[in-house]
Amino acid sequence: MRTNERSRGRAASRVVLACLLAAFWAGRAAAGEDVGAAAKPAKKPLIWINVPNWTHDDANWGGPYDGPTTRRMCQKILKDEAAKIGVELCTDASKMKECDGGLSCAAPSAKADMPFVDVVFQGHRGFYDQFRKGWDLTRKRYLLASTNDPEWLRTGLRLLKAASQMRSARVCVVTDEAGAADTAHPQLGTTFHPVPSKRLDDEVRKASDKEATAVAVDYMHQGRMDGTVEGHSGYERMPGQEKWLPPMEPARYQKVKQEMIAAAKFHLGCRNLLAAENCQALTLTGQAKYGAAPVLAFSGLADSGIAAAFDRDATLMLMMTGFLFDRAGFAHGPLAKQGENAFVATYFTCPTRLLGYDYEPPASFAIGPGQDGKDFGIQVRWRKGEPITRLQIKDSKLLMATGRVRYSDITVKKGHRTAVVIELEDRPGRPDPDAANCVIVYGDCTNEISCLARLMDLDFPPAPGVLVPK
Amino acid sequence: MSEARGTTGKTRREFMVASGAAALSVGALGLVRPAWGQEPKSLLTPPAQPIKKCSLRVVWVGKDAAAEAASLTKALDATARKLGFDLDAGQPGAAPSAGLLVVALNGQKNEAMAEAAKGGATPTVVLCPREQGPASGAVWRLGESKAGLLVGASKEENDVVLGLRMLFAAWKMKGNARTFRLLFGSPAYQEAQKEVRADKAAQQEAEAFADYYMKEPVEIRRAKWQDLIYAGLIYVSLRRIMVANKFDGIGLGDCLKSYRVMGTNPCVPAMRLLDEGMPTACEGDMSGLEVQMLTHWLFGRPSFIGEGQPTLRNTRISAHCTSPSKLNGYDQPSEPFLLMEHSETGRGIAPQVKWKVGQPVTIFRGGRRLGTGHIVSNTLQPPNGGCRSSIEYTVDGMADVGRPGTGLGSPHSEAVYGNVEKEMDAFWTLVEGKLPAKYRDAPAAPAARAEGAREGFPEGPSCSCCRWAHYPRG
Repeated sequence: MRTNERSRGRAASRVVLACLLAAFWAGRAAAGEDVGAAAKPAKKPLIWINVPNWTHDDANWGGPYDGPTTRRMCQKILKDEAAKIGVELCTDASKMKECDGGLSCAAPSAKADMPFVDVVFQGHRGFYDQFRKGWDLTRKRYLLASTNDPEWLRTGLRLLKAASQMRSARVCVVTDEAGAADTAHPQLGTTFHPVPSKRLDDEVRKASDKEATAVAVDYMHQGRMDGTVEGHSGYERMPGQEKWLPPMEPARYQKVKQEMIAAAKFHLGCRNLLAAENCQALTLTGQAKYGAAPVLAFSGLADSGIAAAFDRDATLMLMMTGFLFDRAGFAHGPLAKQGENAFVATYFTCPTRLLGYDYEPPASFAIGPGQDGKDFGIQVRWRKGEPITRLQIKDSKLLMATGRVRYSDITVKKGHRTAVVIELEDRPGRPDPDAANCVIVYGDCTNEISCLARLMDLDFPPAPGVLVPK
Repeated sequence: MSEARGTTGKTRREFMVASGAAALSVGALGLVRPAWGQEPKSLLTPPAQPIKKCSLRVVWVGKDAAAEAASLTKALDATARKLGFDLDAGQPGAAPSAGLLVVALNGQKNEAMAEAAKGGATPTVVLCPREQGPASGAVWRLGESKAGLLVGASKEENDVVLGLRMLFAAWKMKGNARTFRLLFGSPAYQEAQKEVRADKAAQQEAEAFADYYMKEPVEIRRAKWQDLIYAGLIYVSLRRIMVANKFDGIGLGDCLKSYRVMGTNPCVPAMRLLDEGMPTACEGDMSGLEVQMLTHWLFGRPSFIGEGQPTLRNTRISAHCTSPSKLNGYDQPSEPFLLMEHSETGRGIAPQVKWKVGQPVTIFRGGRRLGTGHIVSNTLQPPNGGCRSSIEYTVDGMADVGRPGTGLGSPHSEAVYGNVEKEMDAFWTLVEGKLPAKYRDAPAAPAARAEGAREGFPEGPSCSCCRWAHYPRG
């Protein structure tokens, strides 16, 4: 991941945000307020690791190094990655049951009731192309990784972290359904925590006008929105009295600004609600009720690593991509056909941290009216030629297809404000083009997503180059 | 780039504003001709006087090689069509040719030289292959050449075409080029733009332009669709002005005034014009325009005008708000580019073209001084600021690329893909009988260095007509 000073600052701010969420919840709980009975304290994933005590060159290691050196190398890699992604490691076999996942370099490992990754190193001396018949590769939530690269241990740890985070995460579901109670997703274990929409209304009302105005103005400037704080038509004034485009009418400008502030207040309200309910993701049910109000909330939360969508499955997919890749995904509506093998994925909002939460600069965006001049939306520009992966959860199966970005349509002539023209491969197991609430994420992520699906007991389609046993 | 103050205490921008007073000024390169007697109402007004057209004669020596001559003629015809001149096959009664290309297909040099002698004072290129070429592979025999006569040892299509191109460029350089320093603030331009905006076909052309630049860049940062439409209208206006007046190239004298005239900057339109073989110089730099036209005529490639500065690792950075993208040639694919807002003004739209790292380049300071090197990097933005297209290159044979007095990057220098040093040597030998100056470690006289003086080349804005540095003519 490419980082610089500013991105390190962002990473730190995300940690601070997580602490604040936890502290805020703790404070509210102490005050006796109703913040959700099932709220769990935030904790780091605890992963049990086993690196055998290779004593000599011919032990188990097929690599070019001697056993003790290899052991030290593997441990160093694991410790380094654990520190980087915020995972605690445990090597005590007696405490294995308390862990959220396990990773062992001594396959085959004993069965365990948790996501487990076995790593078999293939060096120049031994080839495990055909595993021993006694090994059960099909056991649930189990992944056997066969590699000659010790650095793959980082991927293994990241997969276990994502699986653990999915299991422990709480999704705040804002709904008007009476008597709804907390439920857990059968495979992923994610908790859906229903909250009446009145709670969200209260939080939005309580949001600070000053903070909301600052957020709105920042988005207007970054997005070069017509009607910035100067009241101008998106093109700033040169020194002197000359103007080359007239300023907006004050009434229109004030309306635009108030709409932006209202959207910013909604964003802050959502953020505060999540903190109060100790949740790590947000689902708003009843899309028609909200309209374009969450335009900033969905984008801004996603950029901070918090999944937010109008649909539970879309929220789960955003969480998966966020936890696994540290980058935001794009939940969108049904694809519109455009020419041969090209589709338009379009939506009224889109995150900007598409290349990674820590990647600078984020994707460029513009803010302006949506189709037919109604409402307004965020138009995020995707990079031409970037590989993408489109995901859909359907009947507890994870469907996916890879493709490529052709270009970003910035005309706003059709569809929503963000419109990215993509080409997708056509093969079995791809998401339905007409399905709503699918997710697109940068990169060809088929292999990693298949691995994660294996660890979370989700069915997934076969894909070329993906050797994850089903 | 920073707004360094010149010896007169004015910044580049101030010079541009000051030069705006001469609304329809013309350059002083000797290759610039006044376009009109007086300012027309609209720049789309075609010239009243007929425009002189170039005619070049080709003579094939060796009657037995008719098939070879036919094949080469086809290539020469294509070049003549592209550059807009006539090929004279030597018909009786034809107008005197502006240049003569003699190709000895039979390898008989004496016969070729005899044909050349018949042309009298007409600039002539003689190409005659030898059975065994020199070890260096050099085509052009500068020792046998002089002003008005260039001798080469080849009959390869590339060399024959280049010979013809040199004759055409030499004719243009002798006062036949039509260049114009355009001002967006001038009433004549604004009238022309008004006509363009009222034309439905122009609107459609501008939309097609916008659509192309929406789909082609690797990424669009901050710029909006409306910026692209405005840029498209500027492009259509400039192109129509160039076509109507048969201009070989234009200088945009007050680039940023187009914000007031059309709501955006002309950087992407300039990029498009350069990619189409219509030289367009930023900031009305007519010496930069000279290089742009030369590389267009001679090599069929656009060149890049940039402001530069030396780096600590003995390379130079050259940066500007626009760059051509078809750097390998007009009919070759574009180099990858991004579109972003214009750097200094924070609005509008400007291209960031990614030059190929490791690519050999030739660096110019006006047409008569050059050096060679290769691309080291494209300056990353962010974290660096500055003009959007920003390249870092080496200069071969210079121990200190930042030594005072070279004139490099003060404020402009030009760059083009490929090492064309030998070709430029040959061209200037044909035109002036001497080689261009080179960027090498041949230091200036000690006294001059002590004073920090120039090495015989003007630095910074100096020309009385357009306020830019020109090589003194004559």
